[in-house]
Amino acid sequence: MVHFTAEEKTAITSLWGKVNVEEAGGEALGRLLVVYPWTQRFFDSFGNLSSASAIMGNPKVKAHGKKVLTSFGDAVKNIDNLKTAFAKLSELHCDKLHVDPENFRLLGNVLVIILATHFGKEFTPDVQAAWQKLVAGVANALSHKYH
Amino acid sequence: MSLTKAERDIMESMWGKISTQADSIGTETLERLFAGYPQTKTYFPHFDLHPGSAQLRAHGSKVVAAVGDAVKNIDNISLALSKLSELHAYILRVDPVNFKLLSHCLLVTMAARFPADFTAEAHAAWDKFLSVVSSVLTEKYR
Repeated sequence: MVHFTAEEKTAITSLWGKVNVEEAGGEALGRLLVVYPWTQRFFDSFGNLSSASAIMGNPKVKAHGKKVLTSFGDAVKNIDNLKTAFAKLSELHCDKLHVDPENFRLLGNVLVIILATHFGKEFTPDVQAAWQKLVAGVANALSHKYH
Repeated sequence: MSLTKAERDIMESMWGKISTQADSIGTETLERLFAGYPQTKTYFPHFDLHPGSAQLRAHGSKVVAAVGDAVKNIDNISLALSKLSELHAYILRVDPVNFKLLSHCLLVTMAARFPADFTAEAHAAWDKFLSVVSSVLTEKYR
C-alpha cells in the first residue's frame, strides 16, 4: 500500500486544483502519441495521427485525453485507496482494452512533464517527487487486476 | 534508432539556450533524480547530496557537459562518448534502468525552464536523443 505524507498530499492537491483538466488531458494524450508513436496502436479509429500537429490538434485525441485525465482526478480524490478506486478500470484495461501496463507508466511520466511546463519553478523536485509517487500508484492500481 | 535532420535541428537550436544555464540545469536534474527516485542515491554514498552542495553542482555540470558533447557530435555519439561508455561499463556499473530515470528528470527540468520551446516535437526529439545517449553509455556493459 502506498502511503502519502501530509506534505505530499498538499503538493498534489494544491497543484491539481489549478490544472485545466480538459486542456492538460488533451496535451498529455497527444504527447504520449507523439513521443511514443507505438502507443498509437490503441487508437486506429482516431483518424489523422500522421504528424505531431495533426495529433495535438485531433479532436478525438483531445476528447479522449480529457476523459483519461478526469478519471485521473479520481486518483487525487482517493489517494489513500488507489487500488480500490481503480479496480473496475483495471479490469477494463486488461479484459477489454488489452493495454500493456507499461503504457500507464509512459503516460504518467508525460503528465509529469506537462505539469512541469505549466508550473515551471513551482514544480520543485519535492513536488515532482510527490507526483511521481502518485502516477506510479495509479499505474500500479490500474495493473492490479490484470491476469 | 537514429535521429532525423528535423530532430537534430530542434535539439541544436535548444542547446544554445540550455548551455547558458548548464550548471544549474545539471544540479536541478540531479536534485529531481534523488528526490523522486531515492534509490539512485545508492550510487553516491561518498557525496554530500544536500541541495546546494558543491559536489552536487560539480557533478551536475559534468553530466550536462557530457550531454552537450553528444549534441555537438550528434552524428557520432558513440565515438564522442566512448570513454564515458567505458567508465560506466567497467568502473561505475550503474544499472541501465537508471539512465531512463535521469533522462526523465532532465526532460522535466527542461520542460520547467523552457515551456515555450519544449513543444511535443521537441519533447519527442529530446526523449529519443537521450535514449540514444543511454544506449551508448550502456553498450559495453556485456
